Amino acid sequence: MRRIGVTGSLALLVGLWLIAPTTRSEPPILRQVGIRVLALRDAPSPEATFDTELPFLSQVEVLERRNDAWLKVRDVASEAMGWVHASALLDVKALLDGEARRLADARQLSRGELDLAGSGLERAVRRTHLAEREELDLGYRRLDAILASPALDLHPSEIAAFRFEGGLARWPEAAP
Amino acid sequence: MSQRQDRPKRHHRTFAVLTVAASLLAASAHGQRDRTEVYDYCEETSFCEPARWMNRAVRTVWTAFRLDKARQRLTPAEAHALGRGAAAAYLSRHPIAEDPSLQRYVNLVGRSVAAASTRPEVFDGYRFVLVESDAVQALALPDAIVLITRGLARLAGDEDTLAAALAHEIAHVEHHDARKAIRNRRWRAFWRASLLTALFETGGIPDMGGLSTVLSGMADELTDVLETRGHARAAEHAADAAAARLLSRAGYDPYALVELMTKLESIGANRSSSLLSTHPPAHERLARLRTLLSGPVPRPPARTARYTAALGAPTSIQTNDDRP
Repeated sequence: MRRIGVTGSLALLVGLWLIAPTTRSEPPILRQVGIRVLALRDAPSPEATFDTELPFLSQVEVLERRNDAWLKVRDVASEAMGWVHASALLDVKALLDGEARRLADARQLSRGELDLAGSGLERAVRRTHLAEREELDLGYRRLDAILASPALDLHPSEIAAFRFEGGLARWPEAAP
Repeated sequence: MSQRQDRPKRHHRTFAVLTVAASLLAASAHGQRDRTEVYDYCEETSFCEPARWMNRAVRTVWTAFRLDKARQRLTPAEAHALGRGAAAAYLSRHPIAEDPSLQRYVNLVGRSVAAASTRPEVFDGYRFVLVESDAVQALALPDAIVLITRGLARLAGDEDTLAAALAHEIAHVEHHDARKAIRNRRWRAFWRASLLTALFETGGIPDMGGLSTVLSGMADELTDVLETRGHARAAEHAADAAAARLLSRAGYDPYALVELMTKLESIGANRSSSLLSTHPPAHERLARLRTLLSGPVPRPPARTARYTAALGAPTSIQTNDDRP
């Protein structure tokens, strides 16, 4: 009787162990936005429309994957969903350190700049660069001017119209 | 901001072995050297020499770790700062074309191609800047800033060939080639400095300072390397192959790459172009491309018309190179 009890208990434990992996839910795959502004597109295509944009370092949950290139994601903060290209997300969690952390601690970064941690580091590098080579000031001013120019501020719809006019095919949606 | 990417473990091991070897070399040589010098405080204590030995070793290892930044993938923020620094270094010597419609046109072509890349999303998006220079040159910098001279844009002669030139640069961005271009140079500088310091106690290992100092130094090196030496030959051939794929996916004629190479080859005889001096010979690239591509496909006249409207009708090749 005792042997049956022990055997039964062992069988129950083995059974539970076998069942457990099938009933356990997969942990959510969380990633961070790795670009300044990320559009949540309605479909997995560069030409798909979008209503929502997420800032740098927003946390998203990956829901679906197509062709290893396009991911359906949900913004953890707002619950908004959409398609993004995998290259827009960081592989691992990014943390502030180095110059950006020092500037943040010294309150030389505004909240917005802290969100765009790249700006803090860029400013520190520029300061160091100019301290070493004053003549680069002209180069930085030229660069600032062209990057802020409306000529480079292109809406996706303009690119789509340009492609259509030039007989370039529409982007196909990524196949499931 | 810090982002530790998925570097292969074997790189860690190689780096650790090389670092320890460099440390021991520098430190042991210094230990011997220091024994010949007389310091009062060293005579008073037996701990002085080991301490100096350790100090040198720690400094060498720390410098190696700082230089290792050139081996790592850059975080978005680092690429952003480095790309801008390198672009500023180049633009301090070359003016930008003062024509918004022309800049817009080049960006429309470039971004049409970049959307076909395996890396279409970058921190601030792809930015293409047309530089006012007759030199035949293009540079792909970190953070996807692509500088192209008017000389190269005019040499292209039509939109598909211009797209081919930009596709080649986008492929360099896709492959992170800018970082790789300075990696070898950094390591050569480090070993040279270590050896000089170890054997002759001259020169000294550079004090790399903080991250901003590292990145600003890398920015200067990057423009210098790309303007004078270019990428490794293998990287150029890989970029050509990737450019053919990009053009095809974007809807442009991939055979435009062959036309671009043919034009570069034709000016090679009478011009020491920057692009020619920093790339493998055009005939070598042509031979490889012809094995990948079949032949030209029809190009809608609308593309030629808008290219001509933006850059003017194709003209004969100029013979003066204004490379700095």
